[in-house]
Amino acid sequence: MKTTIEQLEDCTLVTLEGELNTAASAEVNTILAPLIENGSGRIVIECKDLTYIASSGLRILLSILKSVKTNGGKVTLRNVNDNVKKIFSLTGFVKIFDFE
Amino acid sequence: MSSFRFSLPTFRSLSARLTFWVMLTVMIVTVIIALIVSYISSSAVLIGTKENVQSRMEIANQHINSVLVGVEVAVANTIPEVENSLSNPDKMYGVVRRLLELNPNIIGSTVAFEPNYYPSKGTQFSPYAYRDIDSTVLTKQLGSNDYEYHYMDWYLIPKLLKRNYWSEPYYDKGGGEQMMTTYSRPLFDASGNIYAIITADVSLEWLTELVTESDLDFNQRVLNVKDQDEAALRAVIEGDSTFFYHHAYTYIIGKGGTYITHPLRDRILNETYFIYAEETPDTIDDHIGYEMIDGKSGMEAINRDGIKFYINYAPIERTGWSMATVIPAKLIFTRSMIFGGIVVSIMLIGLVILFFVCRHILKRVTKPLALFAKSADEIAQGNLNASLPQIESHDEMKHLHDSFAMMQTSLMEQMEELKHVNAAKGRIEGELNAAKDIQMSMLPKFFPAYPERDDIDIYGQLTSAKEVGGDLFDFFIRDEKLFFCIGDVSGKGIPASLVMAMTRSLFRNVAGHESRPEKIVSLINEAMAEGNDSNMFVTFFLGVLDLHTGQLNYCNAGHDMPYLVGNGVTLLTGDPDLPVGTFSDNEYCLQEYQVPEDTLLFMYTDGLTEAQDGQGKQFGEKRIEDVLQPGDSCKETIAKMTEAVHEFVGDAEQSDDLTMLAIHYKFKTK
Repeated sequence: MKTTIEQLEDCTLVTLEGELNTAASAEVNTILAPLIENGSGRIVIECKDLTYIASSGLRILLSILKSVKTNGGKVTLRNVNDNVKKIFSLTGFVKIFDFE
Repeated sequence: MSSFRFSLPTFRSLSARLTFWVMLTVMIVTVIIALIVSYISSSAVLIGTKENVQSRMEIANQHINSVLVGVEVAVANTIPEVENSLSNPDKMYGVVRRLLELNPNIIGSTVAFEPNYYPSKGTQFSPYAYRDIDSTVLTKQLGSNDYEYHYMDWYLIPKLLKRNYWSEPYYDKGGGEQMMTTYSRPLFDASGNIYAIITADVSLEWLTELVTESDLDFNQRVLNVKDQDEAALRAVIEGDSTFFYHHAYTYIIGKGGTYITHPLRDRILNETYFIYAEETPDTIDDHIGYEMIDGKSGMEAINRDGIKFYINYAPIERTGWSMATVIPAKLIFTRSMIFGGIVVSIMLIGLVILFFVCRHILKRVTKPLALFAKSADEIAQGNLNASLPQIESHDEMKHLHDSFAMMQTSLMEQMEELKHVNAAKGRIEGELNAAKDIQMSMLPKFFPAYPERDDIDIYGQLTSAKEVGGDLFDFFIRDEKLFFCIGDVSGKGIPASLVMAMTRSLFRNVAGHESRPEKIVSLINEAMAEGNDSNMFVTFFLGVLDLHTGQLNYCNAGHDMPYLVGNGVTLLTGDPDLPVGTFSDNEYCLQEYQVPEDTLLFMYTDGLTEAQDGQGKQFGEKRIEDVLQPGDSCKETIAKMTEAVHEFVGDAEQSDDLTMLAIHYKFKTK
């Protein structure tokens, strides 16, 4: 599982690659801590290489979303594959995130 | 023949190895020094011997000269007397007698006149004085019919050469039986004609004596040749042919190479040097012979019968003779070898002492190393308090000791800490186990849950993963309605189990007085979303089944939809809401379904679908559908599913709780 944050001109780009299962979620949580604490502005999460997400992964995304909502901004999930999209649908998370 | 390989010896002990290398180095250095010293001392000894010999020869030379000069002077002094007595020929006897009386060295003397110088005396007139055996001086007339002196060398040669002449040595036949040489001096008259020859005979016996004495002294004092006494030495000289190899000796040769003196008396005047020189294959000795005759001096090394000799030679100028001393090389170097032997012995003793000292010291110094090894072994065995060897010095050993002690202390501290940590861990694990037990006790355990009812059948199972988890299921019947739920807390561990416990209590609590599923979920959500800083949520499915009508009211908060097993295998439809605990103001919707009789509801958490085999493949929905069989009881269904998962997963470790709840609605309750 590989996680990177890049501060671009018009947004913060987070790239998620691999399986975001419970084991990997601890590390990802640490890496994305600044966004979880204080996420704001436009955040784009690149998911084209994200193969799977577990509930602990969803929790991380939820935290980022809540933080952004408090500080003002938007979270967009980009290039989510069918498998992951299904998980979002089943859990209802599909309603609270923007997809592109 | 197998090849021979030289390998250095291997040592088991450090002190032995160090000692070996030290000794080897010292020995090599010692040998080199010894070789250099012996070479230097040999050269020195050789030079010393040569100088000694040459000074001896010089002394002998001077002695010989003084004798000969003395004779020449005596003769010269007699000439006036002769001239005064010319008128009285008979007085000549007295002249020659007086010459002998005054000069002990002269053993014979004559004034030999030209033929018929004194007509009255005849052709031969040669008054001659000589010494008798007891040294009394006698006179006689030398010339006779048997002895024509005019043709003798001692007369003829000086007469022809017109100058003084020392004859070659010879054995006297006319006078005493000794080796002699004769000094002849021509007498000139007023007109410069030779009228007589005056001679003086000198014995050369003393010459042999002189040389022999010198040799003896040289052998004994310089070369340290040990012989019992002089007599023995002389006997050896007389008869022993191996004499040459054990002693130094001197000989004198005349102008033609004839031996004048030689230890082997037979050779004297009978043989020349060159007879022997020609016998040997090399030409060095011939060369030496010529040098000697030429009146040169020097020192050469020669080889005879494989033995090396040094020949020192120098001329006796007055007579044109030459003297040589032959020394066996071995004798010269005996002294230096003794000296060298002493040096080597001292060095060897030094080496032995060095060896013992070295070994002792090294053993003592390296002993602590073995002790350290022993201490280390003891520590490794577990005795951290093992004693370390005492070190008094302030060197690397002390350093090692201190480092060791520090390591020991550090080990002990770490062990203590480890003990504490393990104890703490043990406590935590104990508490975790206790927590798990509490959790498990919250779940319905006893099946069949409602044995007195035959319209429904329920079976639920939770197989927990290693850690305490966040799965839950629960059910109860109130007012002929079956309230049931299944949920999955996001995350694992203690936090998840706390949330699970909370959720379950809330369910029991709220559903105890509220029957609308959407309301129940909403209330639970409100209660949970508050103070939920960690954003833990619970996927939750809650259903309320009216047992009389078969009407199922349900609310799905982000959980997997249940399967319906009746007329085939279908999925309950619906639009999932967000999981409980995400947003406190979230709205939850009521959904409805009419459950046909003899339908089995199969619910599960994602521990089932996401069970992985060794290659990371997930169990998935398809396999669930394959196992679900209409007609199986709840227990059977769950048992089959469990087996299928186990088979699929194989040896891989269970990563998540595996929770399943099956409810069989058999028929409408009357």
